[in-house]
Amino acid sequence: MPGQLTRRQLLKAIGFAGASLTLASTGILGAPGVTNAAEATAKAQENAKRYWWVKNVDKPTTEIDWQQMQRFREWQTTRGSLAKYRGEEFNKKMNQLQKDNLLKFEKEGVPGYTTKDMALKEAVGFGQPKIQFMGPQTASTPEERGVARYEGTPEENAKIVTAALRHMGAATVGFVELETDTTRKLIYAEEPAPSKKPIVFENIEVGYEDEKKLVIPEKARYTIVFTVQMSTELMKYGPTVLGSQTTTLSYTRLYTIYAQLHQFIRALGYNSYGATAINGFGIGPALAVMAGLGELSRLNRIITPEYGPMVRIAALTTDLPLAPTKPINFGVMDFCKDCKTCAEMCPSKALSMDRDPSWEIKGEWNSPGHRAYFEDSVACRNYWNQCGTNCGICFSVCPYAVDDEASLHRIVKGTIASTTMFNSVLVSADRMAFPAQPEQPLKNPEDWWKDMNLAEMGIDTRRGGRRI
Amino acid sequence: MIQEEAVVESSIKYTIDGGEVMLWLFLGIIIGFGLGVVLTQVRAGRFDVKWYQWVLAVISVVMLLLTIENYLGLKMEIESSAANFVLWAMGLPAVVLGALIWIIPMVAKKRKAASGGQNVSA
Repeated sequence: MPGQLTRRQLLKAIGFAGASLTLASTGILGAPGVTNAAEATAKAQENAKRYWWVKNVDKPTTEIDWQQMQRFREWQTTRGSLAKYRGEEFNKKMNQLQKDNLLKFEKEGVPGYTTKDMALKEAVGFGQPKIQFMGPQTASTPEERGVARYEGTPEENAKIVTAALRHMGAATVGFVELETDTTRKLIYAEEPAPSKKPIVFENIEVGYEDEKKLVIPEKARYTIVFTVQMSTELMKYGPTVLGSQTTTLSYTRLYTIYAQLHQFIRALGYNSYGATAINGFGIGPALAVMAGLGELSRLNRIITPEYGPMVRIAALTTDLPLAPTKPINFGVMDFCKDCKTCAEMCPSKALSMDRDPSWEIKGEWNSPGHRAYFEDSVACRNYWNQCGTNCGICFSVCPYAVDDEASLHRIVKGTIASTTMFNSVLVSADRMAFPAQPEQPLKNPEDWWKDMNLAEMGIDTRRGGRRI
Repeated sequence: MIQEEAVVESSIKYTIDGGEVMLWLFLGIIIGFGLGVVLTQVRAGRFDVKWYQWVLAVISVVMLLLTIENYLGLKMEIESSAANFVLWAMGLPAVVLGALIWIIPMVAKKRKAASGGQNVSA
């Protein structure tokens, strides 16, 4: 009958649709100038596998004005200058409020703040090694062992560093080559308070640290950026003390691996230079974006394809030549325009509610020169004092903060990476599936203590390359 | 109450993990057997299957499998409310589509009978 679909036509259409989907999934139908991350890494660098919908791009999805951008002083963040931003008196008052609230909540037995939660906090923070500019310096060098130092191509070096880091417990690994007019600006100009020592680059053979400055040789321009997984499950108990053990444990693991990486590079016969305090070397999210570990998001932190926002980042630089990895695009910047879940659920309203990212910074704690969703870091810190922890609600409610067991997560992430058409619908569906209440943990903290089958360290180490 | 829920959810999580492969094998056998029976009956001319019924059946089965996979996956993620959401958002449409395989011919038959045997499209 004219105008009606026959069985033959239907089967033909299904055949074409199937073939198109297959070709699209292999990246053959990708946009010009965009390469499939999985394919490129397999051929050129053979780094960890990525999802097919993660595209390598020449420029990150965050717009950057390298001319406007200057090296930032770490102590300008609210970590180092909070008293300056909110006034000495108010700062003292808020710090006292935090201590009082923690004690009050513990005495009252508020779920997530009980004595067992406090005990976990005291325990989990233990074991973090001292963070040193050139690492522990205790590993034996090839020279000390009487052999020649390790030699390999930048691609081979990138592979062995990645393999070593995965063994140490890192989730994802990327590499950035420091260029004077661009990426070097992501290394802090001055280290954290109280020392505030300048971090300078000089044309010397081996770097050093003295009372006045930290010196990195020009040739140590290969920056290793890596992440560790945070527990998606435990974060759901934020903003309580129990929930905040997600970050406490992650930092303990992150800086243990950090010290091990310094040791590994030294034992290969090279030098490495990094932080002297937590987050003290370079702007972690920015370096991770340039290394292709994720995209900047409304959180003003990265979202990764594999673990969403549930990562901590560390970076150090070395004279071991390493092949750089490219930035990636998997649709996050566009998705965040439609999704404001984190900003709406933020108890302090510190996150941007604007649809588009902005060049305008919110305060001196932000590093200018890029277009982002800048946050009101002081408002965020004020709430930290009230709840007594580092909150974490914005991370836990993010639609990307999910485990990887249900295939829907991968279907949704693949759809977001392929088209912006369904973003609003997907945001609505996420809110229905994962309902959140303002200022409340997503789950009852008392339940966590009753689950005798929790994952080790709260994370699934099978995720990432092996399961993709 | 809370304690009971936590224990139940935890036990579901790990039982599923262990039996996951067996579950899919079992479902594969059921679907394969069902398809075999239908094809045999169609070839023997015992009943006629319209093309749209095949389409509805395929969509319904795929959605049903996705519902099962995601329900179990979300249970493993200890996300009960999301698992329930999947049940009604995906499972219910799958069942409705499956029911339409029988409902559409029945409605067409009734309309045909009511119109005195004249051809009425379903």
